[in-house]
Amino acid sequence: MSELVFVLVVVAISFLAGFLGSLLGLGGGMIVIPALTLMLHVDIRHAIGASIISVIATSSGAAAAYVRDRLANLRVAMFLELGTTTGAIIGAYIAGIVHPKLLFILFGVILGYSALAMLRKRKSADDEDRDVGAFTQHLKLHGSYFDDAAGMEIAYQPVRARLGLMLMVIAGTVSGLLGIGSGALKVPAMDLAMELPIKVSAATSNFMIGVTAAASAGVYFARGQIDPFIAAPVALGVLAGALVGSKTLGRIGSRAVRVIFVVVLVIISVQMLLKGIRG
Amino acid sequence: MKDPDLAISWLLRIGVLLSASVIMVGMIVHLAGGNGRTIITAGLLILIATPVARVAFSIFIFLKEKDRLYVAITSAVLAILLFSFFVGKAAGAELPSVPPLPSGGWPSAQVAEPFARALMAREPAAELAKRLAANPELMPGVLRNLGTAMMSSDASLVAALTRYVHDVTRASTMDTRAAASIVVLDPVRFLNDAAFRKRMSDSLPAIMAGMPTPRSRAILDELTASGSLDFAAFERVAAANGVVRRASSERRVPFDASIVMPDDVSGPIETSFFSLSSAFFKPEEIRRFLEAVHAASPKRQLVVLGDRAIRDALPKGVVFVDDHSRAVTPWPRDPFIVAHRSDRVVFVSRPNVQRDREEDRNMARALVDDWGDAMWTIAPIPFHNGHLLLTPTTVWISIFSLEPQIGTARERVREAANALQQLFRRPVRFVHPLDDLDALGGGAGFDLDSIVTILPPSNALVGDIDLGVKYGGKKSAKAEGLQQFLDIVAKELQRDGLTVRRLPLLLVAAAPADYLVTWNNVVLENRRAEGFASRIPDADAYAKKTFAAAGYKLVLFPPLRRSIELGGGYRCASNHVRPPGR
Repeated sequence: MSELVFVLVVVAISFLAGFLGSLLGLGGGMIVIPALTLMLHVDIRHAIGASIISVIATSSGAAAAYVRDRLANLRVAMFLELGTTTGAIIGAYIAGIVHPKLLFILFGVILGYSALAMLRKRKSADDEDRDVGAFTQHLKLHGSYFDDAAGMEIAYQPVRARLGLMLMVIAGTVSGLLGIGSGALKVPAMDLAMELPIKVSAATSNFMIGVTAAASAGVYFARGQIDPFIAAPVALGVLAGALVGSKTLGRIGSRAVRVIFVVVLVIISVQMLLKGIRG
Repeated sequence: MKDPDLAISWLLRIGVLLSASVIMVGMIVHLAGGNGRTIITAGLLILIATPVARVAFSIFIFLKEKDRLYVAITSAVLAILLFSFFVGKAAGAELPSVPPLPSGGWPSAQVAEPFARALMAREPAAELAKRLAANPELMPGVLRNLGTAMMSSDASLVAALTRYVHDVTRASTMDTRAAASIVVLDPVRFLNDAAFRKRMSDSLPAIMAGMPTPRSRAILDELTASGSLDFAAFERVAAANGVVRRASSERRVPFDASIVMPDDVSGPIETSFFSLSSAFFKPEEIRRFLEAVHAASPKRQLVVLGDRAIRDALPKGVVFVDDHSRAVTPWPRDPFIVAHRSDRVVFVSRPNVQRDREEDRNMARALVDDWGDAMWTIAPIPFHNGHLLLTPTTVWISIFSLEPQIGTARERVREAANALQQLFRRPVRFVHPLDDLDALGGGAGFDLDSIVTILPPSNALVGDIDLGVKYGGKKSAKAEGLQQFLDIVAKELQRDGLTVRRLPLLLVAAAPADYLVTWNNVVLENRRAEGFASRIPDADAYAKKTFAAAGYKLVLFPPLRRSIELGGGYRCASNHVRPPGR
């Protein structure tokens, strides 16, 4: 394969990864890593380095639109980021104590369950008389955005902020332990526990994963895992894909976002279960 | 609320556009054949900095909104991010996933080489040393994959890995056994795969370079004890790290006419070599034996090749040479001849290796490594010192002296005898007639020096089973056969003009093999003879009388029991530096 063809193929794959990733608040590593290693025979450690770049690019590429459209909630993001960053450090410290095989199986099951739970329409989503609680109130996490697909301004008030934070600590710990992106755990936590609109969950998760990935990128650079000539086409493709994805999220129905997310979640869940069973 | 959102949106847009343009320029430069690496890296760094800048910028927004809670939360997040950015490397570094070991054979290069590269890139050597110490169960997986990577055809990978393993070894505080595993990476493969052993042996001096002497010694001993480390590789490292004084490979000389072989009588003996491993002998027994030898010849230097347990048991003045846990036998007689080349000692090693005595071939080299100022060489033909009796004028042999066992074909016997004649530069004579070689079968399996002694100028002592019976020896079919051979020898030597006397000889039936109690297996020095005492005082007295009648004084030392039981008398158990003779 000539170098130009290689670059074009990587850009194309990365575009897809950036598009899906920005739409769903995931990192895109689940597309970039297998494509680079299995299709293009890139060294796994360079593929992992490139996937870190892809996470940052997904986040940044989509962020401008999400901030402008008020889809990403800065307060929610910062509050929950407290949990994920703390969790990531815990995960790094206890790595080696917990058997990864069991964790893969456990979280495969949890993700599978989350997927099922997310499929069911939330009953209380639009109830105005939900008990928000003093702690959550105090955090001023409420917000609103204009939903292009629905053609109306949607105001929301998240609930159970404490539970959300705890789940983020766990999500951060797991991603620290297993080296997987935690978007797949963040979105269900925001959706199921805090009852945020799915688009807000996706856009906010999208913001958070970029921040977390940027913090760990230095390590990958230091380890020599980021090969500029692989990371560059990945970054360009993902940025373009994320730009398109971020423009799409506002326009498609929440139901569609939810279904796509659940499908992807089931795939990730099966991947993790297989990893856990096969070792 | 709207303005700050827009400001952030613009910040993000600028960051993304800037990084994308820079990366694009770098890619174009690269695809056009230039060096775009630095440009691309700069673009990637801008991309990475964007989300962090966004968090930092958010703090100002919350400050402006006077939202102290979120100023605190966002500052905490930024602090945690920066903390994990700077110290995350040490805390969060994970090993690259270790490729699973195959159930048989060695890890494959396809997985091992990328793993080795990833490991070296991610894990500083000192960190790996710590990690292995904390999780020894990681060792086989990590090290054996590195072992396979050492077999790479990529010389730069091998060189980098060699440095890395060196650093890991230096940083490791683990016990000797673990450290020995680290320096050869895959001990099982090191033992079984010659190509791997060669590659690791070649790298070992670099891997162990600069290691303190005691640690080097302990690791080398561990490796030699497992029988896997080749002598040349051992001494290269040992000499470089001060474990031995020199590498014998620098002291090898060609075998040529300048090498002079002393005979079995010339004296006084300057130095006696013994091989006394704690696997065979008790410290008490060794001390008693050496003290007796020293008392009999106070001026003689005594050198003991042995392990470190033996070193502590040696009487004062005895020189210790470390065998480095090699499986050497207690018989330094057979594997080399102590010769001279002008004024210096030259050990002439035999090219033939005896089964189960493979390590004996390195005895002479171990002595060169650590004792005196000797040289060594390898003889052009095979020989077996236990089957050779050297007088100033003659090499006495039997057909069983000819190595390898050549049978009774007359032509070949003649040829082999001529070769020995050239090696020792003395006429070869057989201790038996050559007309009926098939009649000599009873002598097979017994070292000539255990049953016959030539005492120059004109005496010979031949063992006698029948005489041994008087001192408790038993008759057996094997003993009868031997007796028949001895009678033939006695008659032949008499015919050759020697005065022949008989010495008692006992053939003791034992497992794993029968052994001889003999007074023949002696070392001569001018008019003296040295041997092991038996537990039969009457027989000892008889032997002394017999030697005295032939003009020699027999001195008997407390025996090294296991040596005798395993088939070796005092002559087998020693070798000596003598004056070059005439």
